[in-house]
Amino acid sequence: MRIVHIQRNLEGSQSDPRYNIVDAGRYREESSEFADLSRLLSSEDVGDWLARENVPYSTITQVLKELSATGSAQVQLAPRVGPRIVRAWFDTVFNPLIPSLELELGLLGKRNWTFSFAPLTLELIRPARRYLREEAEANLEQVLELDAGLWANTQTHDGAVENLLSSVTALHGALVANRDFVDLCNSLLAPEKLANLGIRDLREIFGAYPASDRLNLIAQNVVNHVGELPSHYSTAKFWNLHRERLLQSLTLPNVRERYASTVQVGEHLASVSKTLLSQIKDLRLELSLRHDVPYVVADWNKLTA
Amino acid sequence: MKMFQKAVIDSGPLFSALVLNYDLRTIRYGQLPRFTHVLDDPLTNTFAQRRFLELLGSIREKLTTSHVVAELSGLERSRLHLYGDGLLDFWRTSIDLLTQWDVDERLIRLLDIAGNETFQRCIPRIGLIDTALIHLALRNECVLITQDERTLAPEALTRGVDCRLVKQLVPLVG
Repeated sequence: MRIVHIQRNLEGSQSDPRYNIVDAGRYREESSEFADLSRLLSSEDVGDWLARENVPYSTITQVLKELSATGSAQVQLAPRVGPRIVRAWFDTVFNPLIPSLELELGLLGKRNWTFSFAPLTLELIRPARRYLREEAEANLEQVLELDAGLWANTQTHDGAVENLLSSVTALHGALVANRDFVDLCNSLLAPEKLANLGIRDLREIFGAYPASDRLNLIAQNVVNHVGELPSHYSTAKFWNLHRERLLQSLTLPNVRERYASTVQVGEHLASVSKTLLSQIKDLRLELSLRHDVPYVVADWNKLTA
Repeated sequence: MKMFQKAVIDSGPLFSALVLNYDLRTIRYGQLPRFTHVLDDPLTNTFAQRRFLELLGSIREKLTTSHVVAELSGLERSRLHLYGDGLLDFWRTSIDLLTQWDVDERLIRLLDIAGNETFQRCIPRIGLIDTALIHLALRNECVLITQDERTLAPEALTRGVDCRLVKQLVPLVG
């Protein structure tokens, strides 16, 4: 419920009474910085103001009558999005979502799906709500409830993320099941090849990864188009030397079709993400200017993470 | 660069390694590093960061205690302020590195240490976690790497452990 107080302003006269309207919002905080104040309005102005807020004509007449008789009145109005809500949306939804979608677009551009085989997920390409703090999901829900366009695009985005995960999973599966890929990996991991790298034991490459995960790990790097790895990774020596050759596995029969389809799904997601990103940025600009709320304020330590 | 066959790693250097590894991945994805500011000197320097990771990566047998592993999850919350999927992502990246490094987490039981008179005196003074690290380093006759020059390092040196501070191992300038 939103409460509006109307009171006679003492600067007016008996013949020309003037009124102040205090829109205290939902919490009746008249002294709060979020309360809107309209000053020195005539009776006609008050009527117009209430009409703009969709107050029924009969109620307006009653309020004006009460004002004339007592000098003050109180009206209940329909709730609306105000600066307090906008601030919360900016801090918890818009500001975390925008850089996350930008990162998502960057990764999609590089065809790095950030796929992980265990657990099965795209680590940095997620449904919108999973870019937010858990407790902020309710704010996202509110934004989406009030903006049908944004709701539709978010649904499309999240569906496209799911499709990408299915597609990359299938690509990874096709790769580890491909005889040529398995043979290639086995030949590159043969003891004599490793000896040339100064490696005596496969654990020097894969550490504590079990033998059953080794092929999956190499395939994961291949489907993610992983670049050169920094030398502190134990897999770096092997991967950096054979990377180009392993990446060519994406052209193997039964794999290339999956790969082409994944690229297509990734491009679709990129186009959806771009639309969603620009829609969110436009809405943020519009809300900021309409409610005079800056994009970012306050304690940086509280906003990081 | 110094290379150790075997070393016991304290929570400070281990946590620093996980943070740097996470930040390096962030940089690879074209973003700015987020957490380098939580690290102590010399690890605020890019050159030192890479040398440090290479040094730890080159140790063949990396040992630590379960107490240290438990401490890591407290550090990640108090110093990085990560949440939700971001926190999950940090742990996934970290576990991948710990798996590749084959970090050997050893359980040092209080009752095992308490039976030894020397360690009995250590526990009230420097705590169970640090005492267990000294115990592990002595038992394995290997170096102990730490950033704690106030409590752990002096006590370890007194007990005859070859204890190295990160700032001694990684020069600030190459």
